[in-house]
Amino acid sequence: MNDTPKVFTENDLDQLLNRVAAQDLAVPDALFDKIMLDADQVLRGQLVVRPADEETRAQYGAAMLSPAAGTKIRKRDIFGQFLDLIGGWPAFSGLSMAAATGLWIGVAPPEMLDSLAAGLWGSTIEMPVLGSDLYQDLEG
Amino acid sequence: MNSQTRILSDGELLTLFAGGDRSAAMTLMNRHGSRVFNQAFRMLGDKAEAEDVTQEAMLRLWKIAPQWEEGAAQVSTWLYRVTANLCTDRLRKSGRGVGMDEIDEPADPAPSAVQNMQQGAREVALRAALADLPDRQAQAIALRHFEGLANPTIAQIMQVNLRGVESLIARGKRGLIAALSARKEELGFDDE
Repeated sequence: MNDTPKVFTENDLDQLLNRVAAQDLAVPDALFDKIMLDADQVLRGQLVVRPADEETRAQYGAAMLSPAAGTKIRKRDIFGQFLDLIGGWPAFSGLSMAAATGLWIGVAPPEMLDSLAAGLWGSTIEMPVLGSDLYQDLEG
Repeated sequence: MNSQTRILSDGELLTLFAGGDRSAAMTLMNRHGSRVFNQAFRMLGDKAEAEDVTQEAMLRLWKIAPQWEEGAAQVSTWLYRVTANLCTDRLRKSGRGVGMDEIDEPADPAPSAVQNMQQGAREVALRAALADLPDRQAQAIALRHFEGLANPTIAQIMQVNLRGVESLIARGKRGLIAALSARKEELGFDDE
């Protein structure tokens, strides 16, 4: 009779590991549906995309996320949305230039504009921007 | 007309999903869902828990979609890592110290039924021992021996060099052998 106790060997461990490795299950339909429901909710914005905090970045690999992953995704403010609407900063600068030019022409029109207007419409009139009474009051 | 259709990469599918394309999520789920589910099941040995982990891992993928950088990483690598982390978290929290008396008695006391019970007990003991290992060792063991991944792939997933992977696996296996040796009689290894 052999009284030597059997030692748990690396071979025993490998057999055990292989047995677990051979286990393979099909994904239950209900699980598939739940996961697709989650996807739908993320798409509809019902599950908010949270910023990746430091712990998450450390645990799941910051290198796998874009540099922006650690920052909160912010909704564009009203000015940002306006910029998007008109086509960004280049369009905004063009719009500003046109507005400034229009104001300048309105306040101090060049002489040629008077003759051009008279040529087009036959005559020009002048109107005070402020009422004459008010104008006098301001002068004291 | 070019009738060839190109198979979209995972990264491209994530970009499509971030843009509102639901079918992209379905394709990603078909590609990766089963692997994530089985990875979790092999580590945890519990179907319900594996389902929870799979749902959580895929949810994290949907949420990270807008920030995903195409080419920076592979979705499969990312999912292996997230799943492994979620599993070790659960193993740690639940503490899988299950004894032989918690394994159901077989209805049929025939040798095959007893053997099945013993095998079940060994798997439970293996997962308990895995839960007692440091997280990184448990993950390296599971990726190498349960998922059958090559060491360079494991190195990529765990963001460690090859020597680090080899060391984690070697130390992990020593830890498992020590833990299971202490229970070898209880698990019937003396009978073989």
